[in-house]
Amino acid sequence: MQAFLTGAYPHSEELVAAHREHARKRITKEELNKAVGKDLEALIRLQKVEGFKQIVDGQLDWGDLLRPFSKLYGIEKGSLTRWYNNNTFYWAPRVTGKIEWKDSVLKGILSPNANKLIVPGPYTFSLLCETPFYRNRDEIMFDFAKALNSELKHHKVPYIQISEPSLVFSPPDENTLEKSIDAVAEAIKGIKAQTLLQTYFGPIEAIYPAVLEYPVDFIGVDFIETDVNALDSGFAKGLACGLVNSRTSSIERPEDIAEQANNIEEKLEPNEIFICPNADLDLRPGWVAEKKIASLASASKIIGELA
Amino acid sequence: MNFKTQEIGSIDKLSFRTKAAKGKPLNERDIAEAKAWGAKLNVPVDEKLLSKKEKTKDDILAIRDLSSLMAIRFFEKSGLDIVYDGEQKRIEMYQHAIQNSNGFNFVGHVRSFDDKYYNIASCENHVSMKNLFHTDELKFIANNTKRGIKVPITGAATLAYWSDNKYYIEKWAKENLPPKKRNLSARREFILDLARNVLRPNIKSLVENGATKIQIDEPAASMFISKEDLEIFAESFNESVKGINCEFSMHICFSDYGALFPQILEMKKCSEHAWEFANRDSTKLGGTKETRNGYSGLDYFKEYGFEGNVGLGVINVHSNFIPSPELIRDRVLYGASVLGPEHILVNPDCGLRTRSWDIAFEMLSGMTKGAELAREAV
Repeated sequence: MQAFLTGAYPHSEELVAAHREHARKRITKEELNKAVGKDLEALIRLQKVEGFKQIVDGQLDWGDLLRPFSKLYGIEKGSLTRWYNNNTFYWAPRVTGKIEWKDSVLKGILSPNANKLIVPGPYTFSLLCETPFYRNRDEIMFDFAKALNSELKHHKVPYIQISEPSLVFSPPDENTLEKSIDAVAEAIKGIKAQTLLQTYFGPIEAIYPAVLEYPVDFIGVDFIETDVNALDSGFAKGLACGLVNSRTSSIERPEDIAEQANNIEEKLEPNEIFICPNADLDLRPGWVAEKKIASLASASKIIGELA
Repeated sequence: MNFKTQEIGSIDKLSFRTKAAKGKPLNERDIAEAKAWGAKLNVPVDEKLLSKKEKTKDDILAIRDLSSLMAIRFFEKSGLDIVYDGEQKRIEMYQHAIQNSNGFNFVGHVRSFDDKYYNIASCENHVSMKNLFHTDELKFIANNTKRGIKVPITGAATLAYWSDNKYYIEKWAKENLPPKKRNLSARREFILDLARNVLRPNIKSLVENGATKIQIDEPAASMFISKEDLEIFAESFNESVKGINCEFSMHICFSDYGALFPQILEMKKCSEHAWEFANRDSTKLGGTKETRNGYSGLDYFKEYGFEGNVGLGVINVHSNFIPSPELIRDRVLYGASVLGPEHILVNPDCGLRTRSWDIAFEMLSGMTKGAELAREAV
């Protein structure tokens, strides 16, 4: 069983210090970039050492998940907003015109050493942006999906994760869910990659089993928030099990992760199963994230040995 | 007087203050900056003290006092009616309270946004107070200003939500309860222990030492918005101030305000809510709902019949955009049109910690001018 990361990664204490020094104009942008580069190198190395096949760049230089997409035509940086029920914030994209893709928004910030690209999903984007231009959010979903499709085609990576925390934090009604499924189809149209729709910060029950209709290879479920007993079997997709809690500093025991993964597999009978953190590990300090990754990797080996 | 002006919390610390606290020597630029602000604010700066290569503990305390005095004068000179010291003696609003409480271990830095981080602590034992952590600060400020004083203090729910609740979760894990109920019970006990054992003794001491207005800061108010959580939130405020008579306000920012009603009205001693609005508002002049689109949260107070005051956030603290006095005036007048001029106080959205002193001074000076324009217009 494989393990992988699902989002932003914490900054090392050295990078924290570098950001602070840069903010106070005591070091140059080049020196800050060097510090980012060191963190990135360490993160890539860590994932490889732990045997992960899907390698992320930890969005170390993104600002937040949505920030690069504020560079799409028709969008500008809006107001500072709370990131779900966390003590972190993002700059809401303010949509002031028709959303269009003119050039890559991830150019220059995406590491060539990463092979998995994580992007916000259309439903989540439509809920988290400010909308003085569009009259309804369905239109935003589709125009954003089209722009996303151009961006994904531009990068040609083998693994793509579409992050949709809002699907489980603020579940859509049936009609919007259907449109969101169409929007995801639009976003990945013609893309040759393994695709994952990752949900987090909420239980999946409200959109289960309809969530299986998304035209992706894997669905990610936050099992810190989801009670597996509330789900029926017949998970006719690959399943990414969020079993490591990115919102606590307690380190999970690999044996416990392995046992939970086995129970989930027995109960839901997915096509294939991966294990991962339930959300972005940048919600905790770097040393905590490293230990959690080590637990995840050990759990992956235990499951492999039992299989 | 209508439209009294106030700050919300922290302002930036100049480099002479931060370097001295870390035991680092100051360079010419640090000292020149301190002298320039000293001259502008009419605060004598002891250059000999700042220049000392090896500073004693007393030297560092004297530098902290200097920084505090400068911040008081900074607010006075910008024209504020109600002042404090920009939290110059605190590391920051979370860490200061936690390191003066028992039961916590700091675990490292977590990014809040951009290049802003906070040092997160894990609660690993029963929570209690280690030291009173605002009383000396208040005494110093009271001795150094004749303006009204408002003491900001971080609230119990925010301290809890920003920490890892390891101790209480493990304690409640022993109970045979469903996960949701178990987590809620752990959260409730953690928050209420903070309210009773940490907040209340500090607030009591502040009032015994002359505090007449205390602002409880709860920027994390809307992190948990179930009905049960919001009831705990209100309960935590009530427990924090139980048996204490003082004017209490609450500061909330970057939150889903609608989610907080009606439970926040159960905070019976809270006579003022100071909220962030300008961050969400357009920068166009005018007093219509369209131009003042960031102030829709005011409608909740009207809808639910809140009879107290509102501290109106009129400056976006995360931008260097300096609103003109006319824009401030229009924001204030809009607030007054919704709730009545007698219910509006004027403040930035939040503490101006992320702005330079130059920018913050211009912002606050413009804010007090804008409030004056609004007074003239009413």
